[in-house]
Amino acid sequence: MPTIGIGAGGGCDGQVLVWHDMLGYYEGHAPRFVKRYADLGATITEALGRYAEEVRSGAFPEQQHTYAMPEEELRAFEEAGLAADLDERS
Amino acid sequence: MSEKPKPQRYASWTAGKLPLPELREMKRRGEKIVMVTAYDAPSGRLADQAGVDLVLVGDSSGMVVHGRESTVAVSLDEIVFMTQWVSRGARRPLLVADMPFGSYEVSDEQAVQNAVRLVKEGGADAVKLERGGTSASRAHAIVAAGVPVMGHVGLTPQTATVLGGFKAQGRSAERARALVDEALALEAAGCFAVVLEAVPA
Repeated sequence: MPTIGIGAGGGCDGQVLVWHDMLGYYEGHAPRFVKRYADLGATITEALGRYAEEVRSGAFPEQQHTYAMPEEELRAFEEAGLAADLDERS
Repeated sequence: MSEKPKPQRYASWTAGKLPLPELREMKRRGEKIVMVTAYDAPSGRLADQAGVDLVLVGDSSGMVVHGRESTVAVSLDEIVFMTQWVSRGARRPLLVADMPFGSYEVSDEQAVQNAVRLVKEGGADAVKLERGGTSASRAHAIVAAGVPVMGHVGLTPQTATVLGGFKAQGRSAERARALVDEALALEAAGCFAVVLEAVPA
């Protein structure tokens, strides 16, 4: 019967680790038998921090994250006066 | 990134699924078996893409995903749902679903019913239960019902209170012998593999 080790040494037939532990995706202390192959927690914290900063500064979203409409449709929309109505309401 | 060998594809009941008997062959050939936990479809898919052999839908979710202090409160429903999610992402790896605390201790009948639920509703290929003792009898009953079982001895988080916390086990000659006996009883009960947790190498 194959043995799968976690903190049981290299003599086992296989190894198992917990996803969050091995990827550094948790807070606090990990058991001795965990090897961290990534630091996702730090990656995510850094990414969320940049996102929050860019939302607050207006740097996000950029043109590439927005949708456009055909020129003539936009003109028709503006000529119908709807845009002005909406501006007035806001 | 290092070049990783493409995992072999198998003809089996589910296209591309690693056949369970292959694990014994891997042991015979001296090839190591790679197992990792996963709790949702993306993690299952990534584990599959990385060529992992076994994916454990672990009750460790109670701690690492849901922020509990231990795995004890994890329900069978939670494991059923997570197994469904992981099964949508992981195709080649064998999916082992943890039987949570309280889902197999009462009787062999209870253990079989809940193991079958993990297979039928969750899509698990196998189940895992903790400890020796009565768990060997439960494993025997579940295997007899046609569901492969993985054992788990040493530091068994579901009963960490009895063990005095999350600490290494089997560090005296007597306790080490007892752990070996538990593992052998699980093998005799028909387990296809056993997890050894936090024991001297």
